[in-house]
Amino acid sequence: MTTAKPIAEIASLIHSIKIGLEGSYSISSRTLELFKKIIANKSWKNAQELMQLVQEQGRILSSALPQEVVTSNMVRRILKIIREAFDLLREKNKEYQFDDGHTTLSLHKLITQTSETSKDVDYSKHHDGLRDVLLDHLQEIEIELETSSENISAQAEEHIHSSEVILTLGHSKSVENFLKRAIEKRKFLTIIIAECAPECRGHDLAASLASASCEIVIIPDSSIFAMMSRVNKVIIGTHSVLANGGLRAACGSYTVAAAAKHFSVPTIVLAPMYKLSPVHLCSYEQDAFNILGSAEGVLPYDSLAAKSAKVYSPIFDYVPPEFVTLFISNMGGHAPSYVYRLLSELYHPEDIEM
Amino acid sequence: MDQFKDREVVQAVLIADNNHFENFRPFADETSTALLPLVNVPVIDYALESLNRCGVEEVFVFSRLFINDLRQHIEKQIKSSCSWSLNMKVKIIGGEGCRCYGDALRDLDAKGLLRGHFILLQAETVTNANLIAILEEHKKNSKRDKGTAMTVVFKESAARLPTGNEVVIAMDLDNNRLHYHKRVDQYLKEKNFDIPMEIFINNSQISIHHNIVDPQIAICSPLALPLFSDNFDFGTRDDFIRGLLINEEILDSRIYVSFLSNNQYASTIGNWLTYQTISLDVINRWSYPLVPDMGICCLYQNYVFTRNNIYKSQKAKVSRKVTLKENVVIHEGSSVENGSEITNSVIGRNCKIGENCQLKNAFLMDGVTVGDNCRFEFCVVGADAVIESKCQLMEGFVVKPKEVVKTGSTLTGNEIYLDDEGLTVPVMKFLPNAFDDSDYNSSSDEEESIINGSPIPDDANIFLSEVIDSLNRGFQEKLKPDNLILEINSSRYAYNMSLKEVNFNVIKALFNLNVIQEADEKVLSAVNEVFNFFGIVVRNYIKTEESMEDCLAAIEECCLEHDILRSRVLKIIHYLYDKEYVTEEAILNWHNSMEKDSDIKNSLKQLVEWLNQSSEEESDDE
Repeated sequence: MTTAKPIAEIASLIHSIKIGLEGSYSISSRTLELFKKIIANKSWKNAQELMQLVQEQGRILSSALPQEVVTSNMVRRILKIIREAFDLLREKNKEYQFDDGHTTLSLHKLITQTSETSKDVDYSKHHDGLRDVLLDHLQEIEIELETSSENISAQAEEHIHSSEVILTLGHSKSVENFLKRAIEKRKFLTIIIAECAPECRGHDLAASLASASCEIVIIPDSSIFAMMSRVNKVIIGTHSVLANGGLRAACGSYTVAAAAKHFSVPTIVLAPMYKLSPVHLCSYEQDAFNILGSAEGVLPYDSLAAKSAKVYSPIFDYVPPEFVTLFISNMGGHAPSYVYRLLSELYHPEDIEM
Repeated sequence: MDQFKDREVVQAVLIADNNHFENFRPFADETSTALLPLVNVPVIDYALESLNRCGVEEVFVFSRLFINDLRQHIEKQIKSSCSWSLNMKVKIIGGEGCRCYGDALRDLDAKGLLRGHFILLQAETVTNANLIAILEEHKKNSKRDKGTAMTVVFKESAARLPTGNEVVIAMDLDNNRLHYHKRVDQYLKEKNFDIPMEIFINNSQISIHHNIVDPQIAICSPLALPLFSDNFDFGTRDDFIRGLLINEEILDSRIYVSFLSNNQYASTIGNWLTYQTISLDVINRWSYPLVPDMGICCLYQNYVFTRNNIYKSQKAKVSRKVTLKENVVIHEGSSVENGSEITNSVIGRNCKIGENCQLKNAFLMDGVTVGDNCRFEFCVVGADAVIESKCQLMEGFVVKPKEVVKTGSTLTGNEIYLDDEGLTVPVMKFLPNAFDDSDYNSSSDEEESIINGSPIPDDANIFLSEVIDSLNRGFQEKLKPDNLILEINSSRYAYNMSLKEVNFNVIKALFNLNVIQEADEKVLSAVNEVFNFFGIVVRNYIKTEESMEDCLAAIEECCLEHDILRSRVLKIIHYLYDKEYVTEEAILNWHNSMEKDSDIKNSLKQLVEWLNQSSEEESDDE
C-alpha cells in the first residue's frame, strides 16, 4: 500500500464520482483527460518515473472506488501505451546501431521477443520525444472512446431485423443508442423494457425511445420470465466485463439472462472495449464485487419490518459467461470465450495487478 | 451576458452546540456535541457532507461554546482534503456573547455574511435529502409571496418513542402554509392539542399532521434574519415560528412547510436515545449514501462490508472465536479477543476488547480498553476510557472520556436530572416496534397488573380463562348446558385448540370454578353439585377412552395446584367412576402412566387395588 498523496485532480474526480457522476463513458473520458494532463504537465524525466506516477494515482483511484473498474482499466491502458511508446523509441534508436539485424525474424525470435521486452527492459533511460508520442497515442484513445458508442450502434442493423421482439433491462446509454438506430432502420419492432426496480431506470429508457414507429412495453421485473417466450433477442448493457467473459451488470440482469437461456433466446451484450477488465470474480460480497444501495428502495423506513429486518439492495448481478451469446464492442462481435484474447491485446500482463 | 452577472452562491448555516446539550452530559461539558462521533465519524461531518453533495458552496458553522475545538477539527479535515472540503468553503463564526440560537442568527445578521436565501441546519442533523430542490421551491414561493420568511422541512414518520423531535402542525393544503406548530412534549403523554378555530374558519382546506418529526432543517429568506434582530426574545427556532404565527399580521411574514419524500432520510440527534436510533439507521443503510462503507468525508474506503451489516476495517484484528452477530462496525486498529460476542455496536479506532465480553448496543469511541468478561448493554463509552475486567454497564450508562472503571463494578443508567421536577434525560433502551404505540402500551400495562405473576397469556391460557368465565356464569345464571357447549366450542375455534386441549381445559375449568374453589371443607359436595349441573357438558366432551385420560390428567394438574383437592383425590376419582364419567381402564392406564411415588399415585393405591380385584372377580364369574 502506498502512502502517496492524491493530487488535487484525482481527489476531485473521486469526489465527483461519489456525488453522482454516472455513466462509464463519462467516467472513463474524465479519467483519460486527467491522465493526459498529468503526462503533459507534470515533471518526469523518463518512462519509469512516469509509470510510477501513473501507477500511484491509479492505485489511489482503485482503492477509493473499488467498484468503478473503468478507471483502473484506463490506467492499465495508459501504462501499456507508455511501455509501447518506449519500446518504439528504443527500437528506433537501436536501428541506427544495428542496421542489419532486423531484416529477417525467425519464428523463435518472434516468440521470445515479446517475453524479452516484458522482463528486462530498463525504462529509466531517457528518450526525447516520448511525451509527444504519448500525447499522440492518448489522442487516439480519446477518439476511440468518443466513437465507441457510434461504432457499436452502427452494428444495430446486422443484429436487429424488422418485426422482431427485443427485450432489454434498465437504462444503458449504449443500448439506448443501439435501439434508436434500430428503430430508425427497421419497421414493426416491439421493444420490451424491464423496469429494473427499485430505481426503475427502465422508465427513462422508454421515455427516450418513444416514437411512432415502434411499440414499447414496460414490464415489472417479475414478469421477465413470462415475457421471455415471445422474445427474439435480449440486448443488455453491462457495467463491466470480467476476465472470464462474465458480466457485472445491473441487478436483474441475471434474471434476464437465465430466462433467456431457458427459452434459448440469444443474449447480446453491448460492451465497448474500455469495459473489459482483467479481473475475476472471487466472491459475491461487497469487498470484491458488489455495492449495496439504499435500504429504502426495498422496504419503507416506517414499515413494521424495517426495525427488525436486514435489508439488502445490491446494485449488481454477476452473469456467468455461459449465459452470454455475443459481446458487441466497438471492434465488432466477440464470443465470451474470446474475451481473454482481447484482454491480452489491451493490457500489458505486468499491469494487470495494480 | 450571463457570465457577467454575479452568480448567486448557495449558502448554508450550521448551528453547532444545540440547545439540548444538557442531554449529553458528561460529554457536552468537554467538547461540542457536533463533534460526537456517530458511527466513528464526527456528526458535523455528516451535515457538511450532505450539504456538499447538494451543491452548497459556502457554509458558516456557528458555535458558541467550543469554537476552538470546532475550528481545529475543521482545519484538520480541510488539510487532509476530506471530501466535503472540495468545492465548498467552510467558515467558523461565533463567540462567547451568543447564548442561544436566536443570538447566533442576530450575529449573522449583524455581520452581513448572508446574501440570499440560505439553508439553516442543526449540526447534529443526518440527512441525505436533496436540499437544493427545496431551496429552489422556496425561492419560487418567495417570488409569489414576498412575506415568505422560512420554509420548515419535516419528515413523516411512524411514531415509535418520544424523542423530543415530534411536532404537531396544521397547514393549508393549497399553499403549504404553516398555521399551527406545537412540539410534542417528550415527557408528558399529551393527547389533546388546542388548535384555534380561526384557522379552520379562515382557510378552505387545513390538514393536521401529528405523525411528523422535525429534523431541524429550514430554508430561510433574507428577511428572516432582520426578524430575529427585531425580536430579541426569539431564543429558539420554535420561538421564531410561534412568534411569527401569532403576530403574522404585524410582522407580515409567513412560514411554509415542505415534506421530505419517503426516500429521503432525515433525523437529528437530540439525546442518547436518538443517538442510538440514528446510529442503527446509518448502519442499516437508511441514510445511503452516508453509510460507513462509502467513506463518509474521507477518500478511502475504511470498511469491508459483509452480511448482517457488519462493517469491519481491514486493519482491525478480530480473533477467530468472536461472534459478530449483526449491525457491527469495527474501526481500524481495534482488536477483539476470543469468546466475545458483539451485536448492534460501534467500536472506534484503536479499541481493545478482552476475552468473553458481551457487547449489545454499546457505542465505544476511539481508544477504549475493555478487560475480560465484561458485559455492556445500551451504553456509551467515551474516548480513551478504561474498563477493567468483569464490569457490567447497563441501561444507558455513559462513561466519561478517559475515565477508569474499576474491576467488577456494575453500573446502570446514570439518571441526569434536568430540573427540580425530576425529569430525566432519555437514555438508550430497547427499541420497541412501531405497533407498540402509546395507547397500546397503556392498555397492556393495565392488563399486566391484573394478571400479575401469572404465566404468559398464550392461547391455551386465554382459552382456559374464557371457559372458566362462561362456566361460572352458566352456573350462577343456570343457563342451558347446550348453550354452554356452543359457547365453549366457539372459543375453541377462536383460539384454534385441538380436541385434546379442549377436553383437558374444560375439566380443568370445572375444578377452577368459584363454587369449588371457595368450598373449603365441603369440596366434595361442591364437586357433586357441579358435576350434576354440568353433567351434559362433561359427557359431551368426555366420551372416548382417550378423552377420559385427558380428563384424569386435568384432575391431576388441578390437584397439584390445590391442596384441598389433593387430599380428596381418591374420593373424587371414585365419584367419577361411580357416575360412569370415566371407566376402569382409563383409571388404570392413567395410574400406570404417573410417576412413581408421587403423592397422588400413593393416595390412589386403595382404589386401584379395589378396581383390580373387582375386574378379577368379574373374570372369575365368567
